[in-house]
Amino acid sequence: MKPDNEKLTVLPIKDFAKKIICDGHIYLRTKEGRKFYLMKPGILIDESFIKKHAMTQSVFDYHQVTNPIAMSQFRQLFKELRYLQFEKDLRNKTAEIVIFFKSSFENQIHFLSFAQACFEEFNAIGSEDVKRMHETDLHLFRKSLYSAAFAVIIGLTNDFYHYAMIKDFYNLTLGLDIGLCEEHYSYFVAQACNHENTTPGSGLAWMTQEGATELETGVFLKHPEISYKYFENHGELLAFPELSEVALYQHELSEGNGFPRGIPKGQVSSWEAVVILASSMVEIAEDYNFENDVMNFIFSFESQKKNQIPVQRVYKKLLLSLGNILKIKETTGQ
Amino acid sequence: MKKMVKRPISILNLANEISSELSRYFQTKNIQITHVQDSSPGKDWTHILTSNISDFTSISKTYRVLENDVKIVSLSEVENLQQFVACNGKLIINEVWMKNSLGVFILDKFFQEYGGVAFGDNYPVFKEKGSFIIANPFNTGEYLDRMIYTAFNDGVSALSIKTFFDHLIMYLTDLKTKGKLGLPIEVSYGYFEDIFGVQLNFFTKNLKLEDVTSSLSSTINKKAEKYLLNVAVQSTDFFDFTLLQEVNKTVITGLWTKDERIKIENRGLSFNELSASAPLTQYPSEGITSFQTNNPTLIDFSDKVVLTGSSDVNDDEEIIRGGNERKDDFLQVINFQFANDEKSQRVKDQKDENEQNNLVKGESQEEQIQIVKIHGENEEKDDFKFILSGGESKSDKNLNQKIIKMSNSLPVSLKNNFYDFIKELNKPFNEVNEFDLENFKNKEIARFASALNITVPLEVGERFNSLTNENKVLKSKMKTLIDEVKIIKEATAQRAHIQSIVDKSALVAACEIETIINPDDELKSQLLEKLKEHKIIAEQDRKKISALLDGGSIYFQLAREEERKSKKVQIELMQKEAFYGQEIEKLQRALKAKNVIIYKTKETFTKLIEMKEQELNNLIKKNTQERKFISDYQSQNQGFQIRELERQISNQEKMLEIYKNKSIHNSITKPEDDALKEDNRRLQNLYNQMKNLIETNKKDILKYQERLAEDGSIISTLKSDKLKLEGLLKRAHFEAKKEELNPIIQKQEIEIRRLHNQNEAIEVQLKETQSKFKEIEAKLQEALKHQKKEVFVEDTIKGKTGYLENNVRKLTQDLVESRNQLAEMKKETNKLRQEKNGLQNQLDKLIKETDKNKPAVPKKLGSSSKGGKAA
Repeated sequence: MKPDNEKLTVLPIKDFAKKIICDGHIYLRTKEGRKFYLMKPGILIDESFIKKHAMTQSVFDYHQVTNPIAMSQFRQLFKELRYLQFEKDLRNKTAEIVIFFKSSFENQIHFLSFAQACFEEFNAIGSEDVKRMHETDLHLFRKSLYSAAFAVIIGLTNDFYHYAMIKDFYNLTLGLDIGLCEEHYSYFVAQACNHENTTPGSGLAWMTQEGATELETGVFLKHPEISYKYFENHGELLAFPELSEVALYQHELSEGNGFPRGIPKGQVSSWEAVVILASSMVEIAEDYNFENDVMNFIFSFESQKKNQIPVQRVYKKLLLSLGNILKIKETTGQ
Repeated sequence: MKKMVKRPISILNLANEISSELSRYFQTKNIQITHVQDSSPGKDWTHILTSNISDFTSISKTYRVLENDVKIVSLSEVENLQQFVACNGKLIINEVWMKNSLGVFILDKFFQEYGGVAFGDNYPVFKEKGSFIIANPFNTGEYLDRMIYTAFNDGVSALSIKTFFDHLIMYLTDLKTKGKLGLPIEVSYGYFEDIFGVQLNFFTKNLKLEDVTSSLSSTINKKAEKYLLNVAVQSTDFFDFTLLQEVNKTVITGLWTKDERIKIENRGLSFNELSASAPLTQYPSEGITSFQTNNPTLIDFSDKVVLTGSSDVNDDEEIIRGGNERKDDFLQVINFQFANDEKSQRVKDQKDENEQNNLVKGESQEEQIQIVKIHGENEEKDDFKFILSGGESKSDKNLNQKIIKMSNSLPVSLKNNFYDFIKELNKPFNEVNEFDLENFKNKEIARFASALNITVPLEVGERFNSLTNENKVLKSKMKTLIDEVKIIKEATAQRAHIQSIVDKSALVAACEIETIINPDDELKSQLLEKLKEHKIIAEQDRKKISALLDGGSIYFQLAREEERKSKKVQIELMQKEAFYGQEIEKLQRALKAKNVIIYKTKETFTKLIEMKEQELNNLIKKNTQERKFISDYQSQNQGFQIRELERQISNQEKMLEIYKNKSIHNSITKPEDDALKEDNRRLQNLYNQMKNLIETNKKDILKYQERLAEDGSIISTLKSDKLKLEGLLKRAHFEAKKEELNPIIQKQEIEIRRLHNQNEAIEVQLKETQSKFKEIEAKLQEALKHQKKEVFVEDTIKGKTGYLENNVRKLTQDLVESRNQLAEMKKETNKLRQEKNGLQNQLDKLIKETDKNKPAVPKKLGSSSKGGKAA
């Protein structure tokens, strides 16, 4: 969904090559002068793409969606949080970040500004793995980027004050779907994950109904465990290695019918719920409406999934802290 | 996703009787309970109820509890907790708990096997009051403070919670170091009715329940790590340890109740290993908190922490003075009514009041001193003496010594002052006490302060207060020390008593044996002699011998028994001796340590006072030096200084005059003043213009008034004409009526009516114009008045100009308006004139016509022509 009031500027390939993540809408002009949509915000910019366009010295039409000032302010706040030690200071700084997040939303600053600041600050996953995600599905990294940013804000609103823990949440959420990149990936797996996110517990049923192969269903059912193994093998990524257990919980359900463990209600910790909630908020899809209102996800989430995945406690606290945004939405009738 | 199939609950009751509440619970839950007498062998039990059992191994073997996973529930206190848990003991719950609202819930949780990581999930009946995450076990201060604050607010034993939390966290840190626990630790707390609960959940790996129970032994070791969990458990009313094996998590819950029936002996414990737990039973839950949204300020609850036996300064003094005469007072102090203060708490470690009473009763002060003399060192003895002595009448020499000892705590320079102070008090030596010493200190500080001509800084007061507090702590320590000495003395006396009993019994037994054996020996010798003589033993002698042998064997048995008894007594004695020896040794060590502490604290106290004294002396020195310096300086340089000052003043005065002149000169030439002048000029012009305008307005108004008057006269003439016309018309009408024949007259009548109406309308218009005129006039006058007033009210030049400009603008607008209105009025008056002229013409015409018609009328009616002419 592109905004109506686009202000296009010229972006030469050398400027484009400096970016890791696409921070705006990119159009490419053909020789005939026809404009076509090339890339949307949040997509990883890979080297081959740059090389290809560097040969022809492409010049793009570019509409930036991120706010560089807001991004730098977020970075500054994260840095300040990093060096704090005492509980009161940590709490105050956390509250400050949440308030700034709220104000950025109220000022219609694109969520990607926050997501990109988080990526620059917290990302510890290797570029090879990130690239693997991008190559598996063009929108997988984008989904993980937004989910991980959500994990940060959910963690902060849930009284997780420590920088190291927030960083762990970020990396866990970013790499939560890395299990999908291991063996085989297809349209079925991506759609099953989307189904699971929109209607928890429906992914496998949808796959069986649509006639997915055993390999595909196997990948879908095993991907939490593969992700868990990835984090087990990359203990250096996390300050609290025990948190890698979270990777197993992304598709667990409240009534104990989730997978892989099928654990009953009440056995998921808050820190696990933070990652589950963040992961469930975003789908692997092309048509996210982040451009207009990122928070639609948070508020549409309540009615759809709150009773199905074990995150009520964390979700309530998130709403408690972002309550004003909810009020704004109610008054504007969105 | 394999789930273990749950077996139906069947309980074997090995406890003699169960309470009505408990049996009712089982009935309501439809749980079958079988008494041991009614049980059939080989039945598959899920739980075994026990009570008052010290050895669980026999039950374990008999019912093969471990093989069959039979859970043991004890309804009474368990001595050997380790053994209990090793024999699959899972729950200790006294039946008193069933009288409490939580008892049913605990049993529900246990039998239905549900558990969760969050407090609301594990104990759904509880309302959550707060939660926090621990990422660093050594950074929990504020979280803990907030939790304790909540506990204090709820009126539960917050100190126990603090102890529980501190020890548990450190225990968990130990587990973390061993690699069995993973951070973060999530803590949530809340309450249900009168029960406060704290729950911690965390990630655990390879943690065995035995790992935990092994550290539950009650002996306090040198290493704190070994009794941390024990202390945590002992601090709770109910301790719940649940391992959620499937999700690698452990949940620890501590519960505290205000129910006074729950005591240490009926404390509850629960150890669960939930491998496949059931979903949570739904209880109504309430509340969710966040520190970000809920951040209350913390209040100092120090007044709620009251230690048993500690009291205020006066009470301490009474205790220290002691003596036989003061025993009653002392007892009164001990029986201090803590119960009156509902919020106050007793620290569990404190000795019972009775115990303290026993210690005091029957002890004279000399004994205490004696004990101190035995155990204390030379240096320390003196310190004790000054506190303990003085209870009863003693020689003056001793009392004098007491004052000397008291003065030991003072710096050397103050000692003599203290003796003087005591003399001034005019008090018998035996009545001099610590109060006097403190009064003396206060007085000295005040004296120093006044000598230095300074106010005593706050720090000194604070330090003095802290020293006084330290002194109090020392006194209480000394009191406990005395108690300990008493215990040692009692133990020694008891040992001596047992020894004397043993000695006496041994002596008696020896005497008895001697008295019994002696006659037998005589008989034996007689019989031997007889045998030597006769070579044959007679029947009587044979009987005697057999009796003798029987007697001998009895004596041997008796002797053996006595020997055994004495050995037993000796062993017991040795054991007790060893025990007492150890105890005495321990106490002696503690005593020595405490003595050292007291000595050191005392030393620091004196050092501090000396430092203070030194500081004061320094200050005095400085003060005197400064004074001296000032006086010297004054005497030497006064004259020169005065002259210098006078010169400076005269110079400054000259400078002032120069500046004044300069400033006057500058003020004239300043461009700002020019601007002001220009402003003034402009304002003056404006004012003149305004004046002119007002005058012209006035003239205009006068003109309008004149015109109005003219118009009024016209209107009045018109009115008179109208009246005349009306009269004529009436007459004509009357004549027409009379004639009733002339149609021209009828027409004229209609025309006259029309004219009449027109005339009325003109009148109304005239009135309106008049009112408009008046309004304009009023407006003009108001504007003029306002202008006059405002001109004088405004102070600033700019304000005045602005205001005047506005007024001018307003006035010009008003003028334009009034001119327009005047033009309109003129138009209207012209119209009215025209209409009037028209009317006049019409009237003339009518008159002419009537005149024309008149000659005809007299012909018919015979009327005169005079009236027509007149009309």
